[in-house]
Amino acid sequence: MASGHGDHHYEAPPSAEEALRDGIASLQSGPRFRPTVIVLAVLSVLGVVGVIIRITGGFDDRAAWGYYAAVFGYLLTTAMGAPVLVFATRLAKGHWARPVRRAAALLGAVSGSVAVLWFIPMMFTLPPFEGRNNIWFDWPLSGRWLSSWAPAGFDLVAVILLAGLAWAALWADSIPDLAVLRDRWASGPGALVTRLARGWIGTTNQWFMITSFLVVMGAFYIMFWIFLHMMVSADFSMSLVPGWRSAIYPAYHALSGLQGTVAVCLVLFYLLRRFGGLERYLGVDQFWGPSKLLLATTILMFYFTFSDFHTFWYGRMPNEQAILHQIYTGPNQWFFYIAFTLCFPVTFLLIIWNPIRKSVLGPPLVSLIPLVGLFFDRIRLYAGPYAVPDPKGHELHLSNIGVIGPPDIADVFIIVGAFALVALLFILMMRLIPIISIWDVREGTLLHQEATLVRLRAPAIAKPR
Amino acid sequence: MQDRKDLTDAKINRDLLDFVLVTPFWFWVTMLFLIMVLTVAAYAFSMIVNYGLGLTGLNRPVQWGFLITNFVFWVGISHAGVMISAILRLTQAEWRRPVTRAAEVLTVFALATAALHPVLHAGRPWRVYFEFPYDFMRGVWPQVKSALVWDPSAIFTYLSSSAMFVYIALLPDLAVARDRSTGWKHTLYSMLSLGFRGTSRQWRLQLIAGILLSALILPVFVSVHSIVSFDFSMALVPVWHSTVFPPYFVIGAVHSGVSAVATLMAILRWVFKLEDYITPDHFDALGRLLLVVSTVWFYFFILEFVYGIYMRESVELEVNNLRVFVWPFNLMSVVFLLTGYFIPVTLWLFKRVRRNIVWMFWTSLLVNVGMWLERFLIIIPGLALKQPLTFSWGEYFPQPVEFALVIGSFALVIAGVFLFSKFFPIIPAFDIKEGQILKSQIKVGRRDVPALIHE
Repeated sequence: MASGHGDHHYEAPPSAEEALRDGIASLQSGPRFRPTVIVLAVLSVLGVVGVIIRITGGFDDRAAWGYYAAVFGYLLTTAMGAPVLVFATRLAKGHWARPVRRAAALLGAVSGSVAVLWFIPMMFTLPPFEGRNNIWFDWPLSGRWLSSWAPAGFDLVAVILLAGLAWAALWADSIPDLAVLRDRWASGPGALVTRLARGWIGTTNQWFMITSFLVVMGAFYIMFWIFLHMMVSADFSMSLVPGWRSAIYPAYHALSGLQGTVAVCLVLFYLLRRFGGLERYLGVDQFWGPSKLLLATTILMFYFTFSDFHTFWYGRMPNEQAILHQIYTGPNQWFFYIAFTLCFPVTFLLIIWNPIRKSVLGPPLVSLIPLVGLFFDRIRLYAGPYAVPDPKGHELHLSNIGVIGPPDIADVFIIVGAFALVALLFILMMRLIPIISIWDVREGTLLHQEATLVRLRAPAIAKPR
Repeated sequence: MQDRKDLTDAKINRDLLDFVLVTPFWFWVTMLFLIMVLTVAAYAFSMIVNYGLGLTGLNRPVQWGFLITNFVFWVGISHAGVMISAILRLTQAEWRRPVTRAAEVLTVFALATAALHPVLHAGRPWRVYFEFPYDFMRGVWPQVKSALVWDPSAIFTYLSSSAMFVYIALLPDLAVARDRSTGWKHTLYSMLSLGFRGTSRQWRLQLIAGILLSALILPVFVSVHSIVSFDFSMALVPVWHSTVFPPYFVIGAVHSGVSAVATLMAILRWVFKLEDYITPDHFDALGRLLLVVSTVWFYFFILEFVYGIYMRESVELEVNNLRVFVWPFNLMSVVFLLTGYFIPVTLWLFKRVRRNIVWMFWTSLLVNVGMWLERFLIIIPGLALKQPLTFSWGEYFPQPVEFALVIGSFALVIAGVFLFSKFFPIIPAFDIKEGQILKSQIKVGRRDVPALIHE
């Protein structure tokens, strides 16, 4: 791919045949594949062991489930947002994103599946909504026995739908490439690939349907992902703290999710470049583009935090001061300080530098910082409310503050196991679906041409209506 | 950009400087009408100064009415400039070229008009200087803990940086105007163009200054309307004290500002015959931007509403009950939602509508009707039921002087934009010329697809 705006070392992008060859080659496993799968499988099993330990301990001690809920929140905040990047760049016709959309879509799909599994035990940790503020406003639908289950049941349906959307979009995006595999992969992909290719032959109508479907699906996914943030942040965080009413909190949750999404995608792209042999496809442009988004989301993250804090701090109502004590300045303050420091000033002071943004290694390295920070942030926002002794009532009192305890061995297994499971499923799926979107890259090649601007060679990129 | 024409430098200079160098008769008629409206508004203000704020409908408990609604509205409109000019410049969106200067100029005049409103509203406007820490002898300082004292800092910072933004981008065109004018105009443009000759160094400096200003003005752009929102969210008035107000106000400002730019572009295209420069493609791009912005705005509106009644506090429920079910606020709420979101967004989903300039003009105008009502519905119902004791609840009936001042504010902004376009080209000629250099074509199959060279 061309090496970036203003860079005089113009490099022609891969040709259509190169993209086809490399896309098929990406399905082959290297020498590191088997050991990686074994390690990830073991860690995943540890995660399952951790979940079993937690379940056998029962659901009554909600504080013990705090880290579990934080892991779910983290998955929602990072990997599950990857399709948002895919669809946003497709809607905005971002040419740089062509080689990376498939990888991001795959990450979103596998993390959605893990999130669905992770969510099921979490439903039972939620206390009944009677006596607590909630966004469902005690629907008539919630009968006495339903009220402890039904609202979280709606959340489960939403998580399943979002995961389903991610898989549907991944599959639709992959159909043209699966058809290529069906037709050209000599060693044979098997009946599964043939069935998934759904008789695709690349007619004008078929292309029109696929591209329209992806655009509509994308817009729908983005809106639904934001809506899921609102539901989960309200039900599993805000409603557990009596008197906590913050209209910006769902938006903050979604925005920090966007920061996490961009960060995790940058790390993913680097790993694919480094270990997947995709240097030709993942050049500076593929890191420069998202790094600008990372900068914007980092600044906005500070803005939303400030809006939230400032309104409560200025109001100085007793309830508001207690809320500040719970989530910012009280016994859990170190989670906030670490999260805020990593997610904002450290990331900001590094990513504002053009030499860092406009490089291959810079953005992924910097991305690790907000990823760590966000993890502490989810602990603050989930484990803290989970630790509130009495979630009922109209106001929070200083005697009712939830204090986050240290993680035990089951929590460590759960945290490690969740991430390992996502990575494992991702690597296994890479054997089935080309990690480079062959058709997208080939389309980009058609719309890309070398042009001369005064004395410079520069890319000319078309954006057909 | 698909609807592109090949324009020579001579044609660009001629078309864009035509109105600057030659004054048509209709300009004088329009300005005369606007001056008459402004005179009426000035008279209304003089009445308020002479007889007091009692001439308005303001009273306990509704002490903010039309004038503050209008203030927030114009601050909102002023966000158009930075959105279109700075953000689209930084993201290198090609379609921004004919739109940027008009948006920036609208920003400057909208902001200047907004800055007038606290003076109009002050009751004793000769005391407004108290806002500024000017005196070291009296020991009387502005109350820096008050959000109302933060407003002037934010607004004047934004106003000065926007004015600088306009000026930096204007330099090459001032040089062109200097070289094509005589007499006092030549003297004026010579002074303003600062000796710009188009050397490589000057172009580089002008470009760097534009990019730097674009980046630096972004935090100012966010902070201005956030600080204006603090006027409300810092207060313990029902439905005001909400954490979402800063981003809600900012995104609402972008929504109304970009819509205002769409309205302005349609007017400029018609009035100055700029069909070669402002094409349906630009309205299509504005429409797609507005789809995203308006949906984000609607999301924040839903958050504000849902979490407003989340705790089911009685006074919050009463205020929302007033807004949704009680005349005339219920009608205003319906009109606001229909005009501010549902009608425009439903129409903008269709490309045929987005590319139709008449439709874009009317839908963008509708948006600003809705957004004006939105600010009204935030301010007045909350104040009307401010105190928990029902005997202190009150009503608000705007008076003719307030209508005169609001209409006068629109006349002031329109007059400002027209006067600017009389002296300076409203579309940046150098930007259009640069776009001509960067455009290209790629043959894909049998089609020639317009392309852009990425330098």
